[in-house]
Amino acid sequence: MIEDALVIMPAFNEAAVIEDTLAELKQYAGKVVVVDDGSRDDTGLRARQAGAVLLRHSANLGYGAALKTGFSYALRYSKEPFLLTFDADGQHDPALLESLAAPLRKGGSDYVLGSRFLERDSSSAPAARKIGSKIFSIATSALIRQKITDPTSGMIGLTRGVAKIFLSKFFPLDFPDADVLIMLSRMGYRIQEVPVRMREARRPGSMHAGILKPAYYLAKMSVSMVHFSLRRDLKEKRREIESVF
Amino acid sequence: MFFKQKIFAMAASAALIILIGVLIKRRKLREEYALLWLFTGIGMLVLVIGYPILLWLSNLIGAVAPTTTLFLFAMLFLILISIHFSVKFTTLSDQMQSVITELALLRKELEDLKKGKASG
Repeated sequence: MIEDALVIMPAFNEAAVIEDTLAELKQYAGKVVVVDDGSRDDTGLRARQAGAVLLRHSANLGYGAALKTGFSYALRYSKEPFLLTFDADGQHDPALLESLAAPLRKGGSDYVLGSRFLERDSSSAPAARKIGSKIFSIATSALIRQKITDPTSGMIGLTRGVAKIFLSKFFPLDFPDADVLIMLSRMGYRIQEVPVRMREARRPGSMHAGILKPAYYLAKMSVSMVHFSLRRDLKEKRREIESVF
Repeated sequence: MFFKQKIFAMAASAALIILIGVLIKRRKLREEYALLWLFTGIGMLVLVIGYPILLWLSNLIGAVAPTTTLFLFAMLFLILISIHFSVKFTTLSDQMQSVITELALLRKELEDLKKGKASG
């Protein structure tokens, strides 16, 4: 049982699966915070009944914004030194949370990324999305001079220091991705990947489904990556942000 | 510039300035957002009335007809206004995110307080 990390779970319209996900997660994690991102179903009610701390957004703001609320809660109301994120759709295996927490505990990393591709491909994502992810992995690895295989993973572990950065305006509201890795690396944070397995989601559907959304995402991510790559003041910004909190 | 073109451009600029004035008066538009629109209207009016300025500007930018200069500047103003609104939207979405996060945390705090009161 992990007692020194708070698990943050963004959820949007996951009423059909959230109880099962939480029941399984509770065997491994001591404290779970569910951020209901303006669901139209009773995701929040079910999460609370399943024993999670519930934070409710009054409007749907996106995955990144839900994470921000979770991090705000963690920094303000909880004492756990580490934060872990976990998807509500049941794709993540809670038994692997310990592999995210262990490197943080050892003190060798500030940001741990659960990679679906580090050992063998355990993702059931469509081929086009995998190709997109691969391109971003190569670009990110080249830019931060460290091998990154899965920048889009939703299973991450971080220290409270990194959470402070995520509460600043540098963190995207829709989805943290390769741009965030570049930003953290340029700020001097230590990033590590650990292998994780992905399972079939209990509820099908993806935020990247369709044609327009992936195209928008590709363009937005490219701009964001170039922005963080060109900035030279990120270490200074880190000091500023850390001193404010 | 033909007389008809001049009259039309002057009428359009005057209509724009009056519309902005009315919107400010009815508090449908705040002064800070109205500024760029007012500049657009006044700028167009100055260029139409002060025809030599328009000719000089057309010569400066290499436009063949003075009307092209008017359209070009109108378009530039529209682009500026669009950028201005994009910046405002970005600020507003950041502020909205902060407000919704704060609301979620306060709601949780209130629930905990009520629970404590009920049990204690």
